[in-house]
Amino acid sequence: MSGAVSLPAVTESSRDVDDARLLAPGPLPARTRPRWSDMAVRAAVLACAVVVVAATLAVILFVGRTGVHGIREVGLGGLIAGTTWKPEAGVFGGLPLLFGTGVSALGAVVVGAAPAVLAAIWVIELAPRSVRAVYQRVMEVAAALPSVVYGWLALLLLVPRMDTVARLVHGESAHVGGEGLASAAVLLGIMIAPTVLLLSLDALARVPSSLRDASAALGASRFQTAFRVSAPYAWRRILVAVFFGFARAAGETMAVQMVIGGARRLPANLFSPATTVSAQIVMDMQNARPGTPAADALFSMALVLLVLSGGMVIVTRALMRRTA
Amino acid sequence: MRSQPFVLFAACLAGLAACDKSAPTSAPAGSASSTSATLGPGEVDAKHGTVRASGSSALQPLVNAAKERFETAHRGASIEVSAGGSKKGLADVASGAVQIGCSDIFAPDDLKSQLVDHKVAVVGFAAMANKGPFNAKVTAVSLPDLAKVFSGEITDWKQLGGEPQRIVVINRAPGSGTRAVFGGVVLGGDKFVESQTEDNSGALVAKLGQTKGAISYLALSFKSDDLATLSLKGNDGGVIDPTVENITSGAYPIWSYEHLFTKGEPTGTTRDFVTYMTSPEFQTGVLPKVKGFIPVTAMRVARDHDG
Amino acid sequence: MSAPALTNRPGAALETILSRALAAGAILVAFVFVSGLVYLLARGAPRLVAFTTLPFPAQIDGEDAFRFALAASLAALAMWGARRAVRPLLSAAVDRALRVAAIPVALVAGLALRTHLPRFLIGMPSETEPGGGIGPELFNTVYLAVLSTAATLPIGIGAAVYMARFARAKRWVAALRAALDTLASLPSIVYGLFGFLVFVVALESGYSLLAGALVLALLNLPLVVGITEESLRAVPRELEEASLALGATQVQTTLRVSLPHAWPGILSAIVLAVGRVFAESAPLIMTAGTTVSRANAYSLDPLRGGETLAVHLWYVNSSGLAPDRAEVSAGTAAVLVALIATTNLLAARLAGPRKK
Repeated sequence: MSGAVSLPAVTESSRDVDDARLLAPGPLPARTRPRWSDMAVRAAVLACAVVVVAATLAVILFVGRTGVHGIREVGLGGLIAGTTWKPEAGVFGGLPLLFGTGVSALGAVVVGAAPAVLAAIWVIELAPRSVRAVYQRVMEVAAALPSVVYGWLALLLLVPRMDTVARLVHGESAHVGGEGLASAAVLLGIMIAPTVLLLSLDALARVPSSLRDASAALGASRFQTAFRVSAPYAWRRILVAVFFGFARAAGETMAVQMVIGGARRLPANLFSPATTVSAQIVMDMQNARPGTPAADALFSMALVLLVLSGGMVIVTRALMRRTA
Repeated sequence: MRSQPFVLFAACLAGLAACDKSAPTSAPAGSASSTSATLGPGEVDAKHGTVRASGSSALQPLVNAAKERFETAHRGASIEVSAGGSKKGLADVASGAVQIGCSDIFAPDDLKSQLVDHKVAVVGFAAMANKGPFNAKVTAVSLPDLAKVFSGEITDWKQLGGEPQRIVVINRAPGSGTRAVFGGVVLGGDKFVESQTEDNSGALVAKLGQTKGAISYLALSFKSDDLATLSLKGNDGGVIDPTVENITSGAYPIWSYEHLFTKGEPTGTTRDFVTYMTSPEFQTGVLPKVKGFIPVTAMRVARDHDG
Repeated sequence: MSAPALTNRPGAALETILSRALAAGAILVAFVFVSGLVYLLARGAPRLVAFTTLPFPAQIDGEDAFRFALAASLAALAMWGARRAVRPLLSAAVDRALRVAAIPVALVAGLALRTHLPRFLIGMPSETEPGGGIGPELFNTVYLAVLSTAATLPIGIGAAVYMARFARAKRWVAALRAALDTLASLPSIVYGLFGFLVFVVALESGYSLLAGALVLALLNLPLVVGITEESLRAVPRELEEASLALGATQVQTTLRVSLPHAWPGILSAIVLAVGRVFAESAPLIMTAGTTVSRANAYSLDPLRGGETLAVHLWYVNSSGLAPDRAEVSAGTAAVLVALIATTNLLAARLAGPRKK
C-alpha cells in the first residue's frame, strides 16, 4: 500500500481468526497453566480493542443525542428543506448548507478527482517508470499539507482570479465575486486530488502484470491496454478512491470557510457567496451557547453530515468486498 | 538501532531544558503575593493573575491600549484579549471560558441576570463604501434609504443620486455586535439582505477598497480616506456627519456603548482591570487618544437595553 | 512492457494526441502543487530568517527552555543537512565521527544560540500590532503532537495486535473493523463537536490541550490501527513459527518477534499520525481554543488551553486585526510545512529502507 495514504481498514477480513488459530498451540505439548504475564497482555490488548469500540459509540451517541434533540426542537423538514438559516431569529432552514456542501463536493470531484484518476493512469501505464517515484513523493507531500494552508493560499491566489472570471462571465450587473461555490469547488478539488491520485496509483499497481502482458501480446498499444484492460480491472478501487475524495470534500471545514463567502441562502449562481454545513458549524459554534436551540440545530446538521458519510462508508465497503 | 541517536538527542534536550532554571523576572502566575510596582494614582494593588477577555473586535483597540498600560503598572498581571464577535464574548463569559466579555450590545434577556455590565466607552458606526465616480456625489443618505440599501430594496447607486453601479452589500458575521447595532438602529432589527459575510475588519476594509460598488458598516475607528464614509441626511435635508459632536448630542443615532461584561461582580485582577478602564484617569487621559472612541461621560443622551 | 504496437492502426494518431494531453495534464497537476509550495515558502521565508538578539533571561516562564530546545533542534537539523550534503566527499571514519559528535555539538550550539533566534519563532502573537510571532503556537503544536501520539499509540497498537493475533471470534473483529471504518469516515468537525460536548460542556473543564489531544488521538486511531495491522500481517510466518517451535507462547512471540519486525511500519504510522495532528484545526478550535497567554505560554500543564499553528493561521485570517496578517500567515504556513517535512525526513531516516 502507498505509504502516506491508505484506505481505512477496509481489507479482507476472512483471514483474521485463521491467523489466530494457526498460531495457537496445536498438538504441541502446551503449558497447562497459562503464564500470568501472558494473561495480562491478552487482557490489555482486549481492553484496547474495547476502548476503540466504546469511543466510537461514544462519539456517535453524544453527537447523535444532541442532534436528535435538535431535530425534535426545530423540525426535520425545516432543517432539510428550509431555505433560510437564521438561528438568531429562530429560523433553521438547512437547505443552503446542504446545497453548498453537495455542490462544492461534486464540483471537487469534477475538478480534482477526475484529473487525478487520469493522471494516475498516465503515471502508471504510459509514463516512463522513473516518473512514478517522483510523482508519488510530490503527492505524498501535498496530501500531508494542512487544509488551512490550502485555504489561505486559495484566499490569496485563487479568489482574486476567480473574481475576474466571475466578472467576465456575469459582467458587472449581477452580484458575484471571487468568494463562492466556484472557488470552493476548485479549492476542494485541489485538496482531494493528491489523496485520490495516491489511491488510484495503488489501485492500478495491483493490476496483475500478466494481464498487461497478455494485452500487449494481442497487439494492443499501451494506451489501449491502459483504458481497456487496467482501468476496467481496477475500477472498483478507483471508484472507492473517488468516493473517499468526495467524502473528504464534503467534510472539509476550514479551507472552505475561508473562500466560500458565508451567505446563508441559496446562491444565485456558481460565483455567488454560499455556505456549507461544516463551515457554518464552525462559524456559528463560536457564539452559540450550549443548550440553546441554535447550538442543538448545529449538531443536527452535523448528524445529517454523519449519516451521509456513513452511507458513503457502506457503499464503499460493498464495493471493496467485490474487488479482486 | 538506528533510532538510538535521535532518542538520545531528544532525551538530552528534555533534560537540559528542564534543568534550565534561569529565573524569569515575572513571578509565576497563580501565586497570591502582590507586588508594589509603580502604581499610578487611583490604581489598586493587583494580585498576580491572568484575565481572559474575548468578544467585540470594535472594542479591541481600546482594551489593548488599557492592557498595555495596566500590565506595565502591575507586574505579573496578564490580560489576554481575543476577538470573535460580541456574541461570542457574551457566550464565553456566560460559560466561564473568559472573565471579561467585550460587547457592543447589551446582554440578551436570558443572560441579563448573570452578567454585570460595565460601560467603558461609546463608539459610533457608519456605512462605508467603495470610493468611485458612481458615488462621488453621494455623501449623505437618509436613514430610510440606508435601510433600503441594506435590506436589498435599493440595488443601484443611481437610486441614491449617483451614477449607475450595482450596490454590493457585504455583511458582517451574525455574531458581530456591529451588525446588531447597525441593524437595530437602521433596519429596526437584523433584516439585512443575505450576502457574503466578511468578519475580519481589516479584510473588510481591503475588500471595500477593491470591490466596485461595495458597501458595508464599520466602527468609526476604521474610517479611512480610501473609503467613502456616508453621512446621514436628516428629515430637513441637513447633513449629519458622524462626528463626536453629533454623536454625543444624539443627532447622529448610529452609536452604542462598549460593554465589559463579567459574570457577577468581578474579583481580583479582573476587578482591577475593569476599575482601571472605568477610571477617570483612563477615560480622560488615554481613551480620547485612541481613534474612534468617546468617553461615556461625554454623552448627553443615554440609551438603555431597548434603545 | 514495450511491445511494438502497430502504428498504422486507425486511431493511433488520436491515441498519441490523447496520451500527450494526459501527460500534459498530469504534469500540470503536479505543477500546481509545486508552485503553490514554492510561493508559500518564498512568502514566508523573510520572517523565518530575521534573526535578532533576544534578552536573557526571558520574561515568560519556560521561554528559555523553549528557546534552547529550538536552537538545539535547528542546529542539529543544519548539521544533519550539511553532513548529507558533503557525505560523498568524506571517508567512512570521518562520517561516523561527525555522526557521533552531532549530538553534543547540537546541544552546545543550542546553549550558545538560544539568544539569537528569529524573532518570529519566539515572539508572542499580536492581535492588533504588527510584528507578532508564533512562539507559543509552535510549542503548543509540538506538545500537542506528543500528547496525542502518546494516547493513540498504546491503544492503536493494542487494538491492532488484538485484531491480527489474539482475536477469538470473528464478530469481535468485525465490530472493531466497523468501529474503525466509522471513525475514519467522520468529518473532522464531528470530532470537534464531540470534544466540545464532553470536555467543555459536560466536564466543564474549558478549553484544554488534553481535550484536543484526546480528540485527535481518536481521529488518528484508524490510521494507526490500519498500518500496524498491515505491518503485523507482513511479518513472515516462518519467523513466528520458529519462535513457537522454540517453546515461546503466542504472547511472547507477538511481543518479541512480530512487533519488533513490524516496527518500521509502526514508525511510519506514528509519523503520519503526528503529521495529522500538525495539520488539523477544526477539532482543536472547539477543544483547545484559539488563544495563548503570557502566563502559560510554555507551560507543560495539559489542562490549559492553547492554539496551535494551524489554528493560528485560520484565526489570523478570520479575526486578526494586525496589519501584517499576510506576512504572519505566510510565516506560519512555512513553519508548518517545515515541521511536516522535518518529521517525514526524520521518520525516513529512522525506519531505513522499508519493503512495501
